[in-house]
Amino acid sequence: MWVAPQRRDLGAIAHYTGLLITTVAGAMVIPLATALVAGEWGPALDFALGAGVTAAIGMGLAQMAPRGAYLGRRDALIITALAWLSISLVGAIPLSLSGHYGSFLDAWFETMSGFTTSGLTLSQDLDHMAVAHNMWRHLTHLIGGQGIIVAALTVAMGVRGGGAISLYIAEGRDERIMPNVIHTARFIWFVTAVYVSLGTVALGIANLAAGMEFSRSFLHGFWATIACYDTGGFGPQSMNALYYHSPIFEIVTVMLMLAGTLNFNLHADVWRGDPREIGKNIEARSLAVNIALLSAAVGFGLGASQLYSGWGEVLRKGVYHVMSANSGTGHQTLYTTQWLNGYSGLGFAAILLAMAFGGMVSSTAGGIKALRLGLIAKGVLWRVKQSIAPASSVITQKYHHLLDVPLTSEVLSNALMVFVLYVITYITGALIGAAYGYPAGAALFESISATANVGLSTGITAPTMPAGLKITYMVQMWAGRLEFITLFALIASIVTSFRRGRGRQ
Amino acid sequence: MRTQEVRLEVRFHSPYRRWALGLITEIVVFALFMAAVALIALLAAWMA
Repeated sequence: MWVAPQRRDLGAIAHYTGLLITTVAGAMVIPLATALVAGEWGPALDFALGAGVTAAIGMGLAQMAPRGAYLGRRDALIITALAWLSISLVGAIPLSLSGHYGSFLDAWFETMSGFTTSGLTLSQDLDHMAVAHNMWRHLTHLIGGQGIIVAALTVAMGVRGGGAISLYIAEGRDERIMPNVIHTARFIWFVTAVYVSLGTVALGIANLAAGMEFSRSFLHGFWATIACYDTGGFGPQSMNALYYHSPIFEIVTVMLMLAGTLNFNLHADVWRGDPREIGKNIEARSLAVNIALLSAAVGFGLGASQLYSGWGEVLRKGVYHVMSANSGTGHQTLYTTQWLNGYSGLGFAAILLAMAFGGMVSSTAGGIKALRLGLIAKGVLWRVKQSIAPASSVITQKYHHLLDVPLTSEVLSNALMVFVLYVITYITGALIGAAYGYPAGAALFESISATANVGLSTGITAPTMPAGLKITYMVQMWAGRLEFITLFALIASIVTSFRRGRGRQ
Repeated sequence: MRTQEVRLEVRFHSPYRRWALGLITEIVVFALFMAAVALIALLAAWMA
């Protein structure tokens, strides 16, 4: 039975969506302050206007229901789906005023890519963008990577009726680290603060040593840290990671990517003094095997190629991209056109798979996720055991994810369902890209990159690409970040409300 | 009838107490893992 939202539910949905939008208005104060410090008066005006409009919309929506309005599970799903759409919409206001985007759609694409930690960009003349606008682009990674719900929960939304956990789960994070969801959100921010501080200092020193000016060194270090730890992929320069030409930069960023793709539960276990969990965990094992096999494939492919067969190229053009793709970061040390010209076919295929598979659940990474791949592999093993066992025997299969858990048909079917939904979306996006006239391989690469929130690009994603394809990739980034079910809940609610409305006429 | 007192102690290990040690452990694990992956990739390239 389909249940349509009632008027009271719509009030609660508007109220909490408004609070989330107001949080984004608050976050715009950071680039505003950056603009004032840097003496960028035009960008300061962009952010003052953007923050004002965003706050007005957010507060207006928040008035549609009393503070602490009851929030049901279905409402939480709808709010989460709407939140990602609405925050990217309002977040695009200052960027659209910057003069670096061809249209408002391009600026909206940029913020959708930023908040979903994808990293695909439509910015023009990026090398001359104001510090404040670049700050906002990278902050969208930070806010989105941590999760907008997590971000808002830490500043206390006053959610009633168990709604906090519903919101948290709806955002695609289905594991609690602490007994209380607010404490979980705070722990996520604590880990982030530690890694962002460490990464900024390390990359800042590396940039300084490479000859960059002091404040620029640390600013670039901060942005690159956010982009890698939150597995986003934006860069302040049009050449992305290639701009730095530095092995030290690449080593530090790879470490940050690994930290970003690690499940926050595993961070908590290691920080509690139990590092053995990493070795036992099905998800960590699955990701390790995945990265090792794909790195071997890239190494083999590049080793046989004409351009990148040296050991330095194998590591810096091969392994670096496996890590960047698998973690969902999307930092690249190649020009976009080089993927299809000179990069080995086997290497290209391995990077496609690395993007499609993705990192760990309850992390900032996207894609199918290592846990699901591990569960599916265990499921295959389970079925094989069952098929060769005597008919009367009962065969069980366990897996270790934080504790030993028996594998059930329900867990397996959930993993398979999300796997299938990702694959269907990857293929659909590729078909649409090919229909617009792009080569099939490049269209598949771009489609996977958008859906798995990676950000590597063969060059299709550009201001000149058709508006229809921009919207397709935006929907893919949105759906991939929410892992589909939340988005389907929004669509189902809209359809049922529409049907109810028609029934009354 | 005698009543028996049962004491149940629930301990919660805070991840904040030894976070620095945990951070160092993570960095060492990441470094070792990346070294192993790099070696595998170089071996595969050499075999090609």
